[in-house]
Amino acid sequence: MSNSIDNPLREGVRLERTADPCTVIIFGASGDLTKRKLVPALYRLTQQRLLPAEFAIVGFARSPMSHEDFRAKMKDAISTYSEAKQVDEQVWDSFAKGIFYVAGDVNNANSYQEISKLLEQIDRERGTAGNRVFYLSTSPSLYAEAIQQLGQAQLAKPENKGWTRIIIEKPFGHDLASAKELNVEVAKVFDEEQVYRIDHYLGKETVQNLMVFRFANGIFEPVWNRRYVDHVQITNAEAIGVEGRGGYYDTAGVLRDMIQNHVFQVLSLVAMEPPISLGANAVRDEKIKAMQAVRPIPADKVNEFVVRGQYSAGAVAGKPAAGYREEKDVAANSQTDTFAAVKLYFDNWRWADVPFYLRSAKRMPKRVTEIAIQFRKAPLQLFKSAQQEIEPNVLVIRVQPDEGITLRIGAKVPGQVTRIRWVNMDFRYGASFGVASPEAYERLLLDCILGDSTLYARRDMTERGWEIVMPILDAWKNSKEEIPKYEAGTWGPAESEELIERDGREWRRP
Amino acid sequence: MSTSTQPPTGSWIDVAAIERELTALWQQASDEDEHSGVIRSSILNLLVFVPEASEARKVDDILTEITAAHPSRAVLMLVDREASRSILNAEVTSRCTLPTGSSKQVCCEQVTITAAGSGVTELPSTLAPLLLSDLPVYLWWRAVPRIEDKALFRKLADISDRVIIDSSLFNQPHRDIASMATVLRDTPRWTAISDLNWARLTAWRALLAGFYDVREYRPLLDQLDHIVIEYAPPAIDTSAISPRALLLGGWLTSRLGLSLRRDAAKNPAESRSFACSSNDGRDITIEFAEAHREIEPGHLALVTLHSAKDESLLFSVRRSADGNRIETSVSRGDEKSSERVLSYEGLSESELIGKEIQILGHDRVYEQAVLAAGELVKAIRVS
Repeated sequence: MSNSIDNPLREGVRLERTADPCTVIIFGASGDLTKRKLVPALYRLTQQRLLPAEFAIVGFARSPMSHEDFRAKMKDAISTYSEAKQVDEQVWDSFAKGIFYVAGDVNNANSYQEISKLLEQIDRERGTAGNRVFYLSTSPSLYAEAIQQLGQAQLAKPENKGWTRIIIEKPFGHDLASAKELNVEVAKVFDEEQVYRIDHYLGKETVQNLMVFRFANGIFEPVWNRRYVDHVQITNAEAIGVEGRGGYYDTAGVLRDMIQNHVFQVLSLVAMEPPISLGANAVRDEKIKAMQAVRPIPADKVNEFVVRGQYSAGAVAGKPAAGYREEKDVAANSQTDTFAAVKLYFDNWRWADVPFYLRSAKRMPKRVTEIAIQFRKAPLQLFKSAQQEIEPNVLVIRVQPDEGITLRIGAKVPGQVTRIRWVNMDFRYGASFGVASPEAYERLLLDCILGDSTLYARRDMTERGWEIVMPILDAWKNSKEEIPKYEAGTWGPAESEELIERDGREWRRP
Repeated sequence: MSTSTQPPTGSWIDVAAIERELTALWQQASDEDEHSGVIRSSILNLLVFVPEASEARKVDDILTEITAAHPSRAVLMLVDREASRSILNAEVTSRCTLPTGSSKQVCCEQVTITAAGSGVTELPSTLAPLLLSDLPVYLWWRAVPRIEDKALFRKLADISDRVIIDSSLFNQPHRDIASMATVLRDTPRWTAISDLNWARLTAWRALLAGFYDVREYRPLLDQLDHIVIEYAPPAIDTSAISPRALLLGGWLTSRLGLSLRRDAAKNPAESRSFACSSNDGRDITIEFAEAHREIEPGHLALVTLHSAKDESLLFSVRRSADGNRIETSVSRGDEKSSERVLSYEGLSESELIGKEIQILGHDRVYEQAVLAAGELVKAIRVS
């Protein structure tokens, strides 16, 4: 970790999280993620003085390109995708001196020799001290090969060098077997402490606030359990469709693409026990402990616990939207899920018999991610005249957009008779903190450079996510039934209403 | 959106009337925006003392920016202590902004109090009931703080959690720094103090500290023999070292555990050198030199840290000629082994205040820097 050096000048400097000298090597550097997110994030971190002068970026991809060409592309990317928009020439020149490019093939050992030689040179010339972050953002099918090659080229654990870390982009596997296989390949070459499996959802400020909300406020934890909570709903809705990613999406679906990673990460933060510290493993231990308590869905009862759906043509926010099967690169008879609702139980003392309803989908009426904790009704109804008006308290944590927290409480309507109205007590991030939140990738990249893996997924968590969804995926694969449809711009198929209504409950309208 | 109304006033203020007016303003704002509604939000109380009526508009604009990012109940005090007539008037205003991506307006409230003559002495007792309960109180004292001013400064500071001053406004820089040092030394448990000038040094301090985060360079921090701080003198007193330079010198002195030697200060025409010794008895010179290039009064131009050992390494942070960039370099003789250029954000007053109101409690590093700066100016006086 960087702050291990005793530097008396560092104390009290308000930017306390400064990083060690290092080089970030991006595999798949000609891809979208590099220009949209990664390089703009590294540029911004540099401008915020969170990265040291002894810092470099090496892009690695197949396209033949010189260092200068790559620099020019990255400059365009920063102008287009960074908040800064206008790039100061002198500042850029200074940053660009630390950007390099290697054209090569992930499968070719010679490419790794070239990378190795360049890294040695950068260490000498830029003082990057042998510290390296490898960022895998290639096609996932190349991850295992890249990892093996890094090992063979002695780049994973170089002797007498600084530290080496590897960030692996999602998706981490296509199913449980492939995720395990990839983890085995990773473990052959890297120690688990070197591995950072990224889930950009965890870089979001409001997701991180879940921990603060639960564990910095003494009043919520005592009611955060089966005694007071009736059920929990987690909604992750997107208004957009597949946006040109039909080819990929048709092989994935929402259960793979969103629920087994992002939604499960959020779920684990809601369900976990308080960690003993904020250390990376202390937090991740509690998260996996919670997820290990998720009751497996029996293969023959998948329909009782899960509903899938696929959007048909409709309209979202007043604009016509094509059906999923009409999207580019999507099979005309596709059975891919663009909607999934899952009911889960935790077999532990805190949550026994409390259902957690999760739903995630594309082409919903609006983009929203929220967690709703619905409390039990008051045990004794004193207000007979207002009996019909009694509702449960609900605590809603909105992750996006309009991030904030709302508590729904009953209040007396002024007047001679007792009537109750339900009102929202609202806290909104935008209203209380007018400062912009850092981009998720900025936070996560900096955390990795600092050696803090708290917000990254550990091996056991990635595998556990797949374990939970595998019976569902298998059942769907073997099912002969036509996937239920829902009109684009609605909250999902009728079957999803039935899923929750069977339990005497209903979905919230977010 | 900004609306205002004036409760009945005279030579005293009816605090209950102010609260009634504020409630009416909120009702009005909700009625005007019936569909999406407004959110009233406050995370702090911000008291602002302004001694020049001519500055009122400017400060009002700054408050608009601050409250957009940090919703607060702001109390703006426009004070004329020299006036012969006693005045105490109040006006309430609501400010509404629509945060990005939100459908609801966020509104905060401002009470502007005009006080003159003997009415000024009523300010502290008028303010106390206007504070929102349980929220921290920040006093932005936009003037030179006079600790001996028991009637106003002391009383307002006493009801505040943090006082924010700006040492760039000091009209007798050396004396005022010494006075601040005395306050901090004599009353260490008093209300926490922040200085916008100290916040302006954050980038400099971070970059100087950053040199020694590199393992290879860290031992050289214990081998420093010469520190140079180049500055532009303050406009108010061109013979003085600028408060910003003094604070940086104080910070280095205190962080490195240096003690001034007897007869430490030497005063050649354009630079002042201070002989110091480290804990392990090494000699270190801190030199304050006037910048020989055009730069705004009071600002820093260059800081260099020189280590005699290891082939004489020089670490420097330099503000570019146009003031928009900051350059860092590590050089060995004529050869630069590391250099980079970063944007230099000259933060506005509202941005600086925005940063200060995120901090609660004492900033011990700042306080130690002021104490050390006080020793430096004391040495100048003695020499």
